[in-house]
Amino acid sequence: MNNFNIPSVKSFKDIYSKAKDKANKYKPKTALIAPHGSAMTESFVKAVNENLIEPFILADEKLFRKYALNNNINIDGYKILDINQPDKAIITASQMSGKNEIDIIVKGRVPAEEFLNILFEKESKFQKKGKPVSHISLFQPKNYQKLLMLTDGAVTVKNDLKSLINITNNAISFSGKIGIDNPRIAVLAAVEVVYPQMDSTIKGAVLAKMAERNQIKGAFIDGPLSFDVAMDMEAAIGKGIKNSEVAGQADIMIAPDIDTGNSIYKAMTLYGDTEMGGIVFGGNVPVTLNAFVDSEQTRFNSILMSVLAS
Amino acid sequence: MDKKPIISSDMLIEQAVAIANDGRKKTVVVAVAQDVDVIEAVVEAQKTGYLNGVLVGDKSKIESLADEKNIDLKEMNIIDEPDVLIAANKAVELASTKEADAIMKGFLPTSALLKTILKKEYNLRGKETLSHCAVLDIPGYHKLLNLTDGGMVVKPTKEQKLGILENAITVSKALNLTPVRIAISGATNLNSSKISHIKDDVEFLIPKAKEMFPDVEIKAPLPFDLATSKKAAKHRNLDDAVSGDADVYLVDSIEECNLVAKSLIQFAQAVFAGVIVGAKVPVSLVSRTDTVKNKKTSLAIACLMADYYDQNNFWGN
Repeated sequence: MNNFNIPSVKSFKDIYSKAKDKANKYKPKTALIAPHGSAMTESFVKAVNENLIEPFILADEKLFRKYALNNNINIDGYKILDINQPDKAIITASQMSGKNEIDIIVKGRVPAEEFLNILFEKESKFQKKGKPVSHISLFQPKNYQKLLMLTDGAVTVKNDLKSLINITNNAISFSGKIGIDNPRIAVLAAVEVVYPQMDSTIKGAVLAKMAERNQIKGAFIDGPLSFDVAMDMEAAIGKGIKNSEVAGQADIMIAPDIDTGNSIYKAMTLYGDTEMGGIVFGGNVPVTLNAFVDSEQTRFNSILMSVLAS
Repeated sequence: MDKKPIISSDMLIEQAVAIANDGRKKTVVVAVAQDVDVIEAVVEAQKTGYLNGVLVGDKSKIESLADEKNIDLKEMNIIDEPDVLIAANKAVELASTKEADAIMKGFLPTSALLKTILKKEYNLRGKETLSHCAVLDIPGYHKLLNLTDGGMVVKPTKEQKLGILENAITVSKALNLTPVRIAISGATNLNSSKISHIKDDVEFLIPKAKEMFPDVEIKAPLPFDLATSKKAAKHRNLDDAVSGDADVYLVDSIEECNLVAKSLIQFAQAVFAGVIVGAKVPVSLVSRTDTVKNKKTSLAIACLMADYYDQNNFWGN
């Protein structure tokens, strides 16, 4: 059994310093959609004030200027594109991102499902051909000694093997962007043995084998793993899981389907003793996608993740 | 005894004690009791005063296991049967003849125990669908949340999902919840979603549930946050009787239930009580990784279920 391995990037504090270093060389052009009355705006402004991003506002200009005035926001240096419909703003931001005019998109007050639907419309040209897009969230649970990534809780509706491979590859790629190389990936299921009647266990085993044969590169993958076996070394030992580079020390959890990913993500947001953040990864540019229940810290963390992913 | 709603894991144990004090103390039989975690849980629960335990299994093993952990078996009723299969049958028979009110799984696979329970001769099958309810006490949520099914049905058909729902409602009734507020999971709250089960949930499950079960409020699809956070529900202008106030969160797969429950236990300090519902007696199972508190609340909920069946003559005669 391995010791618990902790990567050099192990907290949101580390993510922050990395984002800061990156922004010192180049501040990503960041578009905020539907800012009015959105808690996201506060975090966006904080990121601007900390010199992490270059602000673009895609909204009704008059309304935004009034909003800034009322909320004491100094918007000197903000580029404002006067677009009064949020759906048009999403499409414009997305098209600009395809032409390298925007490096990050930040969702304001638009329901996530609507936002994503518009983003994935053909007209938006958000998705490059053959390049999968997925949702990635990052946690720093108090009783875990490092960061823990979860995917996919919001974007990938299908959960066939092909989709899970795509999700996994995106997670490995994002992991590299934040400075965690060769991450330890747990493909989650309800149990840690293969049952023919449980599809998720078969996919977990297949992904593990694909990594072993180098068909999926740049990561240790084990599956199927149950939640506690993936995250708790004692449980892994108790269940007799040997020779695993992942059990008890996962850096990344691959959820078996979008329902499960979404529920874990929401449960952690509401009740978890954890810092967190989340983005959409794999399109033209990263998109921060937050729920209303997210804390200010979570929203800011999501921007930091986007800066590193950009 | 009053019928106040049970909204925390402490209340579960208090209620089980109150039932016992009211002269209706339950007997829990352990099938194949040579399992130290199970012995410890039953001894603790008996000490707290809400049940009488009967340990059916290999007596010498039971005694040496208890000895290693300094567990006092003086007050415990032990039936010596070293053979696993015979012990399982003896335990189930006690439930069948109503000498025991609930069954607890010991040192045998869940599937072996259930197979025994469902033997025709014992007449213990209550419903077509047997399902597992994970009743969670999540710090920060204002009531208990029943997540189901994370242990029995791998990928339920819509009919099985209705059976799982019915069992969950029974648990809620035993917890004196009225109305029972049920949220059906979905990664989105849009009916138009591409997620395949949502159509069945909306078009089959909800109308059926409304027709079959009185006193329930039910809504689908609801993501976890809209089901359990009033703040989130309000933000989305959801002011129905379920959003933000769910008693039951009915999910679509064993994975979702299992993984969400475990993430809440691991990273949100949730206390967990599990019970298998659908047989004429509640079946309790705990795992090695459960805390003593989880094990005790699991036994308490089994006692409450058994009492609910008795008081309402739930299965007829």
